[in-house]
Amino acid sequence: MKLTCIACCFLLLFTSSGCANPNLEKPVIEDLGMIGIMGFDYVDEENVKISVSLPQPSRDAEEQVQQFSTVVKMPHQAIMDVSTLTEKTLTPAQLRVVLFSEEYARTEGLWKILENLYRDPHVGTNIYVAVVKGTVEDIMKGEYKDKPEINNYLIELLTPRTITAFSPFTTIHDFIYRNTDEVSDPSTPYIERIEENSLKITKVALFKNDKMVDTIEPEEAKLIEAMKKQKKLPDFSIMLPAPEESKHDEEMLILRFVNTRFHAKVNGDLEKPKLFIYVYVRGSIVDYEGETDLANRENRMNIEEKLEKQLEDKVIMTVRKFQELGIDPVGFGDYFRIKNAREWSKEKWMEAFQRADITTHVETRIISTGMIR
Amino acid sequence: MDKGNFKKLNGYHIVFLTQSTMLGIGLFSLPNDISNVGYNQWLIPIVLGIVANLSLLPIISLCKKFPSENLFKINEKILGKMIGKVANVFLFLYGIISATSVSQSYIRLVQTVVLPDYTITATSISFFFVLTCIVHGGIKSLARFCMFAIFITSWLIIYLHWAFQAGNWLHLIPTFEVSGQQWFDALLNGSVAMFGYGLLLFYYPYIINQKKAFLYTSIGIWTAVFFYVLVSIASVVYFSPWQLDNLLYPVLNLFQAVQLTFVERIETLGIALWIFLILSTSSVYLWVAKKGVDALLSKHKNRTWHLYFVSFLSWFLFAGPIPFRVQVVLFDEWRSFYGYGLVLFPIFLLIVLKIRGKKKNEKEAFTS
Repeated sequence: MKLTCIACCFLLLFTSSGCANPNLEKPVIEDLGMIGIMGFDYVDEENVKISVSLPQPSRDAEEQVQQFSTVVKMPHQAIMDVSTLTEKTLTPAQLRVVLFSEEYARTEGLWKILENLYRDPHVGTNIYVAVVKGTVEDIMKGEYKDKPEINNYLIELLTPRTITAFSPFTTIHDFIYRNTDEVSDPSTPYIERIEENSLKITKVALFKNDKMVDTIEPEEAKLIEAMKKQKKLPDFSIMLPAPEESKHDEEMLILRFVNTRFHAKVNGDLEKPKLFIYVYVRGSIVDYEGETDLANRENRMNIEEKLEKQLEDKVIMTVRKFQELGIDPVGFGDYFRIKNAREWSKEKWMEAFQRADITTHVETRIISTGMIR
Repeated sequence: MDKGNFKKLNGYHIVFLTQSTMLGIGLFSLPNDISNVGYNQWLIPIVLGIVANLSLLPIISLCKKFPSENLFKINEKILGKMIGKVANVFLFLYGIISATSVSQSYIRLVQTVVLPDYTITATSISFFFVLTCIVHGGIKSLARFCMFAIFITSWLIIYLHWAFQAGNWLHLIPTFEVSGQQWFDALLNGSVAMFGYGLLLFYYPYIINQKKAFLYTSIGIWTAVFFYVLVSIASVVYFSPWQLDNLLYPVLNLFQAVQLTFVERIETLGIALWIFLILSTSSVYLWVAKKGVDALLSKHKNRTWHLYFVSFLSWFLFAGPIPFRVQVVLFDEWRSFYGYGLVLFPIFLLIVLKIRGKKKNEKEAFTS
């Protein structure tokens, strides 16, 4: 036993140290350049312009980030190429955000890139995916003087918060899941540069399979998120038709969602598809422009009714838009899939969805109107 | 090493031995193995559990006929010296190939995911060093190690919470859209994860309360099935059919879904802890292989060098200069055949026993 012990120790020592140069063997953490953001711009059908940015921990450097861009074919090729430009060994292990220019998302589609990132065991799957207006390079090279360095800024911007909860916060996993689940289509946040100094999630980009086709406004996107999954949503502003005695034509009301519930009823028939969408919203009023006395129960019921009407219109409008585009970002198809699993295919569902008869009912409850009348 | 009584395994030892032999590398790829049936796959482990429990019946009834002998001796008794030896060679090969195949797939996984800059030599040598130490303690220390392995890894189940929370529960409704052939294929592929309870044939003589062996083993089987079902439910709600088909290690991706504030990329921790499940699985198989050498070379006498021999052989099988093609055949294709073989073997033995018993009776009737 003793002998084997010693033999094993020697073997271990021998194999683990070897004769390799320890500097080449494994770089220490200070030598690693952790890529935080990767951006993809359209060049032509074959090539893509990849920009990477990595935080610069050294205090001597003037800039807080290092940025490089290169024209290549595959994402890992960029890492190989850029590594020779910097003193660090690049690694995608800490990648947090991948950005695509609108042009790239519309013409090439995201699948090729995302599949290759998904393949690499070092790249996590909780990486946020977003589409930007203009080119990614401009967004990444931009100076945001009152903001933290670009890596932190973008990561924080894309991290789920209630106030931006209209955005789907798509990660690589979500995108791949939505693209391949035979039912729904992906959607991602859409970022624009606003007033030189800021980036803003202005819209939500809609995809048909992996290619971007359109965008929707945050107000509609909120309803989509409410239909996807029960979660905390940001405040919702809505214009109500004013009562006759009022001075204004319309009154603005801001509703704070307390919780939402959603379910869909389907007839399961792909020949004559019928889809009934039911949304239940509980909320409180935070801003109100009109003159109606909100403490009065009847008035409140009245407002609830108007709200319901407005929200129903919005739901119908949004779903109609999806029907026109032939996409299903919510995944209504799942309800049909359960009943028609045998010969299910996404094409069939899309064809049926475009013909579907949509009805909806939104129920709202105003549970509080604040501290004053 | 417990050199006390010959009978040394309590009921709980059996439970843990059974389930840790079953839970191993199989769990890592299970949702991928049974992805033929799409979202219906969470039913597969339950069906397999029932099948396993049924196939336990002949195993137990064979063991009851020879309560103080392991399968190697039973073979020689029933099939005679020559054929028995041949059967024992196959059993020995089963032990060693299983041990090797489990450790090989794990070490390859570690190499690709955790230590991409290293070759497998150092990792595999240290792994086999630990493995040899565990088996050296004999079956009781093995059983104790299995208990330890289960307790230190089973809490990882908590991390499925993220997948459950992000997933779509509509996927869980069974739709039965797939053909019978696909169900059969999925059952066949999934059964690799179930093998291991059959090793009861080898440690049965060490059990104190042999009457309850069936109960204990069943509990072990169903605890393992419980883990399998949970993991496949999590995969079903979290993944799309394409992901189930194409992800080699879905459990790793389930780990990647986890977001904790104080630590990132929890899957590295998961893989590292998984070594306990791998060690417990392959050590039981290695112990069987070692018993096989005992049976073949020293007439069932215990010799320590047999252990060193089998562990070297097992290490050599995947770290040695053996062509990759041969390795694939050895570890992936043959292993499942061996697994079925071990489950069906007791039935064959029982039939032989019956025929021989009849012949004996006839002979006795004839002579009297």
